[in-house]
Amino acid sequence: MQFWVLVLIGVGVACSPPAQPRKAWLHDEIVDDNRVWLTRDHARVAEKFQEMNEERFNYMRGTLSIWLNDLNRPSGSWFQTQFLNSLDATEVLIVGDPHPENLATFRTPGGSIVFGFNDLDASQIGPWILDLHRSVQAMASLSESSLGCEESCITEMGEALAEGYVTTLQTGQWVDPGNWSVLSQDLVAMAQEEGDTKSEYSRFVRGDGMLRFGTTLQDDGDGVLELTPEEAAQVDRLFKSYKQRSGHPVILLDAVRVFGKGVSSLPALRYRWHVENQDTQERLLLNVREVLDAPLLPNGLPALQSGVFQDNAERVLEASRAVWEPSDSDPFFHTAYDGAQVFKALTISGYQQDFDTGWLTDRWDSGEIAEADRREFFFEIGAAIAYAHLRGWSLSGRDSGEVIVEDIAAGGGLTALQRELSESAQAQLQLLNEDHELFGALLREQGALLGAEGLVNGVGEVQ
Amino acid sequence: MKMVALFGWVVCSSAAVADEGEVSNHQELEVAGQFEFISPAVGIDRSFHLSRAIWASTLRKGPASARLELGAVRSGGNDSYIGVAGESIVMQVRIAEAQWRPNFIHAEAAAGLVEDLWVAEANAAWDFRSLSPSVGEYEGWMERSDLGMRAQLGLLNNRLQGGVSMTSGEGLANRERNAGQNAAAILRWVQPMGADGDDSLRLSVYGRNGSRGLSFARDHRVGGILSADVSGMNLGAGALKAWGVDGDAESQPMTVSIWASGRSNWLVMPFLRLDRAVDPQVEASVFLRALGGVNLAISKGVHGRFFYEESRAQEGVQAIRGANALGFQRRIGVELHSKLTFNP
Repeated sequence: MQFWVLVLIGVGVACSPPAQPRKAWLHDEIVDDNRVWLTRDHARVAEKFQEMNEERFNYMRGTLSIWLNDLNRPSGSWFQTQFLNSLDATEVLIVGDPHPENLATFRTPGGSIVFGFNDLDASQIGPWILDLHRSVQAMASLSESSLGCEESCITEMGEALAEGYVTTLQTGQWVDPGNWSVLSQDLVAMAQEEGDTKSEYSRFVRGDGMLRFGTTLQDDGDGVLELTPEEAAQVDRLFKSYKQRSGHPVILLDAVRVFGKGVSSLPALRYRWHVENQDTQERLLLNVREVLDAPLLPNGLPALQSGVFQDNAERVLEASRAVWEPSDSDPFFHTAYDGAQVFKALTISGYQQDFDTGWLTDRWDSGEIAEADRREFFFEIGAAIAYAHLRGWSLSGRDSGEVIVEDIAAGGGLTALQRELSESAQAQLQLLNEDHELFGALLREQGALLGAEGLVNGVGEVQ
Repeated sequence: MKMVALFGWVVCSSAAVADEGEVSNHQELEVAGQFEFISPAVGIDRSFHLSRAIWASTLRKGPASARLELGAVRSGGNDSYIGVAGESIVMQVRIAEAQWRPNFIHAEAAAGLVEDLWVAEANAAWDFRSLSPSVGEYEGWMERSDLGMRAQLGLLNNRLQGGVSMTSGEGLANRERNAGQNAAAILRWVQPMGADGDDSLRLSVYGRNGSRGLSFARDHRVGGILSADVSGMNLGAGALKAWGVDGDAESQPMTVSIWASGRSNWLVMPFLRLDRAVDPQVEASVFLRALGGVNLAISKGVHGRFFYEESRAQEGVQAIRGANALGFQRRIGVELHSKLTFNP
């Protein structure tokens, strides 16, 4: 009797519609995505959640893993592709997270300013189309909030991005500097000016050659602090590793701990180093940040990262060298180990400027860019992704560009890609708005850690 | 209320136990290694597998027993560089039960990391788990065990069996995340058949009212298994319906599985299993899988297995929706399987 009562109750509950199922799903996904940080430094996780809550674009940046898991969620997914008709097309080197704030200028050793993706922490072997859909999500959000885009413009963005991608795949060439959009030209000009004046250097380094730091963090968690003894010991180990691996004849002048930078990796350990090149006596700044595993691809796809690369250091190093043109766009870029922990070091320089959403908003609001400029910018984002894919490689050993061009042709060509990305942009923007609202509601209801306070303890008693 | 009644029953029954007897030590070690070809080949070479490495130990003294089962898992593995001593294969606690089984009644109470009622039932009906987990676990909708308590009772000369469990709902690998518990129940009829009673028919129905994750996403199940041992053959069919899977409350898939295999000391035993899963909430979401092969008895406890598997997924359930390249896969391979017991 008791059994049947239980069964009846179970069936009754089962058949009743769940309350806000997507909210519950997001809740668990977001907490799980941050488990590694929760156990180590949950205050930083709360700051990350706050950043994600403040701006929709930040929410997008902080939810790459969730975005990937959503692609093959059995119900409610927006995603559908006409491509990936050959296995080779699912196994190319992808950027991973090609949003516009990860696309930046570099000053090459030859002195020219070039574009490249400066954050390849999410790079891995995967389906090429994922880079485009992720980029379209980011661009839809940015275009609406910073570039005055409405529905038709979002559609145009998807089409232009697809056109830039396919055109670059076919020509094999990056957009000629003479044909850069106004936005790209302005960004390059700004990079040249700020790099030449060394504004970044003087902002971070005191007159006595030591790095600036504060005594406390700001209310929002931002700030720069002096190293604790444990951090100083770690920096020593990391610097030895960096020097050995990179072969650069550098000495470490000073180091500080940096808090509150980035969104997705905000809780990661981050140091700023002041080093001197003993050959040239040039002094420079390095941003040294912990690198974790790339997010998992949608369930059912083999996670190839650990089979292809030896570790995360090799993954980001090889991806950068493959994707950047020239491969030493940042000559001091390298990696370092502290035991099993992996860090990467990138030069901090005024020459490195990304398509910051605030900068884009100012430019649009002030009327400095027109609708035609905006379209050229969309085209260039597609071109940048194509160029990265062209310079990358496929796991099958075939030329990655050939693999993708064939796959696009089999899936219906440029027109089909334009349609897919335009529809994706509209659907993703709507979903992003809804998810951002759900996330805000979760924070209000569950608190700063989304109710995960019970999970902050790491290894301990069995419970 | 149910837990109080269960506790009272345990305490009262314990008072009647007198014969403690000797400690008996039951050990079981099952190891299987595979070599397979996968077509179309996806990613890096995955030909060699440690498909199963399980050590199970049970100590018994009178009605008291303790059961521990460890299973091999790859740390880090394909998902991460962050593993144990590189990416070593490590042993995971799969089951850890304190058990009490009075000798005057067909009953059992267990607590700890207890075996799931459905998985135990499905495992009893499907022998080739090194080639494929049983129905429910194969789809990833059920987990081997969960923290909690379980009680089972047999009536009518143990032909009618019932079991209930209360567990955390977070499964084998996660700690509790919400204030809710999973309540599950199974009812089973076992009908001996044949003149010597070696053959049997077994019918089970199962239900679970559950939640998962921080936001109590529903995680309910209803299912049934019908299996028969007849003339050295094992025939079975199972169906399981889910409302909510792995924290996704919108997911409502259902699976049906049928299988047939030899279950005797035949030198050559064929086996075949067919699975079909579908989520009515999702367009074009049919997943089909066929697994078949032969099992060769090499010596007592050691078998060679040759197998072939083919699976097809409609676009709604492909790893990336619409990616036809990911909608079909076949495996062909060979496995050496050993399962040895001490004091069976």
